[in-house]
Amino acid sequence: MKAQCILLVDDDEDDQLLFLDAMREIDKSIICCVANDGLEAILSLHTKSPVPDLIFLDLNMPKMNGYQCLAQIKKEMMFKEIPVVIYTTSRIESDRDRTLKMGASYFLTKPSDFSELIEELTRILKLELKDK
Amino acid sequence: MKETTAEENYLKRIEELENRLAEAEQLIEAIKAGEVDAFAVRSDNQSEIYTLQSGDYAYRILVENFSEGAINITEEGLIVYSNKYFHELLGLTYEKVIGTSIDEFIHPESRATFHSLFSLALDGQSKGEIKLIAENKVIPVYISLTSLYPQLPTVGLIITDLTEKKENEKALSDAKNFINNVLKSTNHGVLSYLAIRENNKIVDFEIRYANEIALEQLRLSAQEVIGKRYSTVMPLAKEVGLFDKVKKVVETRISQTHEIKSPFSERWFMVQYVPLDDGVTCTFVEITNQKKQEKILEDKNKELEHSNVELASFSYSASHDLQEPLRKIRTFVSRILLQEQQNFSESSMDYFSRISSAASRMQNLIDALLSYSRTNTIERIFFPTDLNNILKDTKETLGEMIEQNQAVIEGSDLPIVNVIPLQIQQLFTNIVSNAIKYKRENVNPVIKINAERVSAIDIQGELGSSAEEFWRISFADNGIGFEPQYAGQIFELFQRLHGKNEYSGTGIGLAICKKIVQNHHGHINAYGKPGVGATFNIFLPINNYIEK
Repeated sequence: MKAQCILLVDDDEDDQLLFLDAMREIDKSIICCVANDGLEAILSLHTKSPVPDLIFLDLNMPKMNGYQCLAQIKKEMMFKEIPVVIYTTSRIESDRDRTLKMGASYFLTKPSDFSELIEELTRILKLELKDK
Repeated sequence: MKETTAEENYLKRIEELENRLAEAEQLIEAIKAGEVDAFAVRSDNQSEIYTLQSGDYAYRILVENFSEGAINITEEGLIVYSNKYFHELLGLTYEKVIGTSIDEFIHPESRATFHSLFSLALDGQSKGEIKLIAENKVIPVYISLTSLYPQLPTVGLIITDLTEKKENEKALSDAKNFINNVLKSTNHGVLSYLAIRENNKIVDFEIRYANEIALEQLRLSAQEVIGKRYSTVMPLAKEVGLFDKVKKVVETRISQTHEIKSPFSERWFMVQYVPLDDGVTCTFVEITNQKKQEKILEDKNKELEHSNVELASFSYSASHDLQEPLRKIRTFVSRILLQEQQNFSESSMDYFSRISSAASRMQNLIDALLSYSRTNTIERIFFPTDLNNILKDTKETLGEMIEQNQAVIEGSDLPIVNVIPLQIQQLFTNIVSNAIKYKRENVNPVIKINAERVSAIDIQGELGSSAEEFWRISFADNGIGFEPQYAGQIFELFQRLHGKNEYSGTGIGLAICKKIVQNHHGHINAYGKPGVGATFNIFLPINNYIEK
């Protein structure tokens, strides 16, 4: 089985650190790449290999925000099948509806408890990576 | 027998003659008394009519009983005859009038007039109005003078009392003056127009009336306005559509009120047109100041709206941005507690737990603040809502809490009320969860919810509605209650009656309730008895008054 690869798109260093920490707790074999904004994510998708199996996407970011980035991913033939998990501080219903309509697979509000973060990520990974 | 007959004949003849004499004497008496004007004397089978000089006695009676004054005066002005009416008019006896100079009864102001009328009358007739005076009483009269020459060396006068007529005229003119003064004393301009029609179509108006204020505002004199054409006096009226407005009122017979800006300046007028005859009465008043105030108010309202939006967005992003670092603190703390716990001393563990609970309390505060600020900003759309359904949803929302505390919530027959459903749902949730939270130890909470129609006058406290009737929805619990003196305070933001260690709470929940009730133009109050329970009453207007 080939190594799983996840791309995290988030401009917040603390959140990056927590995310990577949690991933290490869950499964050390998963390769995690980080992009600091939407633009960097698109560039990384085009230039780096392997293509990620799952993308975690923050919404509020400089340069290119999560909505624009999501739209771009869903536009490109090569990437549109990659499941995108919106990973945000937002708890607003309309943000959830909008992104799910745009093609996002999940909407995960960043929890404020580390164990909860691990639980949520484990659940999502199980669902999204089980077939791979 | 024959002698007797002759004697008898004489006697009969004497009796006959005596009868005729008595008849003649009676006639003379009658003539003397004026009871007979004329009599017929028969001769040769023909009747001759004899009128009598004294027959004019009838006319004397007529003149005497006239309800007009009648006098006869000599060339020198001495009154030689006065009927009853005249001397009574003067308030004098017959004797005081007869033989007196007419001049004595003529008001000094009228003497010249009278003398010229008198001179004219010597040559025939004259008529005119003068004033008489007697016993300090002035009597306006109309006199008609006729010379009685050559039969009599006198002038006859018929005098008509004009007092009543003059009084009527004065009353009429007083009434007119009064109306004019009323129209003068208002600060409203008043104009009245009469339609000028051509082929039955209104082509213009004649200005029939303009009060002083109206003239002042038009900067024209009465001569320039009254009787003149509307199009001449107000040449711009047609252009600015005013003429059509006036025309419409005459045609439809429906009064209209307009706010009109002067075409010459920044002045505003409130103009009312009311149909009158085949025209209108136009009343106007300057409202420039009100307009200015309205504009200021409108600007202020916009400003307020703007600053409300700004405040809402500020408080939203403030709370939102505050949450971010807080979330990280909490996550890192939980991460450390999860992974490094075994390396901590007991006191370090305690401190970390304290950081964690402080952060979590701050999270609750921020959440509550966010929800408080949202009750101000989210759309306020009223729907007729069945409160039984709201209660059902509330029970579902609080399901876990109700179960854990074995709470009993009794409530049915709640009304359908025009409310903002989401807000009322939150109101119910806050009050019910509050009741459960502040339960007595070892006593299962029981909350009874009742609805009752009450009259506005029975509600103590400020109402945001002029509705006459309200629904009172009361939530009575059997919890710890509170001291009555705190009844007012508990709805204030961050107001807490209990220490943080006894009961968790942000001090925002009931403030949100108050806000929601205010949004519904209603009222909320609470009564408590320590150790017995508390009752929260919310009052919602029954008709859908939204104004404040």
